[in-house]
Amino acid sequence: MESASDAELVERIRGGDQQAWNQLIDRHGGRVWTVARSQGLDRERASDVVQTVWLNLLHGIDRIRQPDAIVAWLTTSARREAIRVDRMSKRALLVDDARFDREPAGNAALDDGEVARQDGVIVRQAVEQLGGRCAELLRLLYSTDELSYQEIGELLEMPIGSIGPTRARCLDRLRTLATAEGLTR
Amino acid sequence: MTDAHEPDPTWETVVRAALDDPIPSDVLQRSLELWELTSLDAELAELLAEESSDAEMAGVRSATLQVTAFTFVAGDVTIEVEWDGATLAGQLFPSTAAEIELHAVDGASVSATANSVGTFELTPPRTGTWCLVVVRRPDGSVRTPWFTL
Repeated sequence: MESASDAELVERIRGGDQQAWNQLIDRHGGRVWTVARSQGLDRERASDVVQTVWLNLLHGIDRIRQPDAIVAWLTTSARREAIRVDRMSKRALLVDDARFDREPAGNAALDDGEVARQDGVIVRQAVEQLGGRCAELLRLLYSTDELSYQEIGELLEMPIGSIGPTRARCLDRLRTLATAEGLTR
Repeated sequence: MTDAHEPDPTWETVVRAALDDPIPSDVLQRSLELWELTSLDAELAELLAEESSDAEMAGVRSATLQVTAFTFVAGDVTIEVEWDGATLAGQLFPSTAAEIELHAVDGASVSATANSVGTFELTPPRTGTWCLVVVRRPDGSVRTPWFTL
């Protein structure tokens, strides 16, 4: 069976179709999560961002003017909400505490042993240290395969052609930072 | 797409493994359950204003406390609440006897009773996305939109 388009799902949600709601979340839930985490939020805060974005969509579904552009609406909303939550949580913490309280992004469970696990921790800490646009770009590119270059370009307001060179520069900077912190590979 | 700036594939593999982060199944499940949560049988209040202000918190070194104030209106009931990062303090106008419930999207809730002048305090167990339900008898319930604490 041919799957419904995003615009069709939005129309069906407006009409009270819960199955359409479930399909839209199954299709795009990972994207919203990836964008929320790309701001460096811990899992709990990222989870709150995800719920807020979907709630806002549910409450404002009748005001969506371009149902076929719902992906852009979701990712932009997730990014704005994540930035807002990140700012609020930073303001609520003492600067010295913030360094230690924030859970590193990513999944620490790796299969290839303690060295790889330690390298993973170092890389995630280096991404956090990198911060800003580089950290966001690397998380968007490598945390899942959810977002295309085009989506990332639109989200970061970056020409698609500059994503590759920027990625290369950011990876170089990341490697320098991670090596300085004791990366073994 | 051809990329003239292909990075070292070994390094890229290390980075990909370190950053691997699919959406957790419980987060996905909670998103799906929002459909039922938003169909509570209550009049929906309108968020009229949201304000924030910074205040130095006495006695805490270098900390800045952000106070966020929300005002909701539904029919003849106005709910004003202030969130200081730990406690949600509010007041109903006009003052009325009511049970105040604070619901999280994951089903957690805390409740309090508004006193004779309509004031109440709630301490949510954690930050996150919440809504207030004002249960008035016999006038029915009022629910606010979801908001983030």
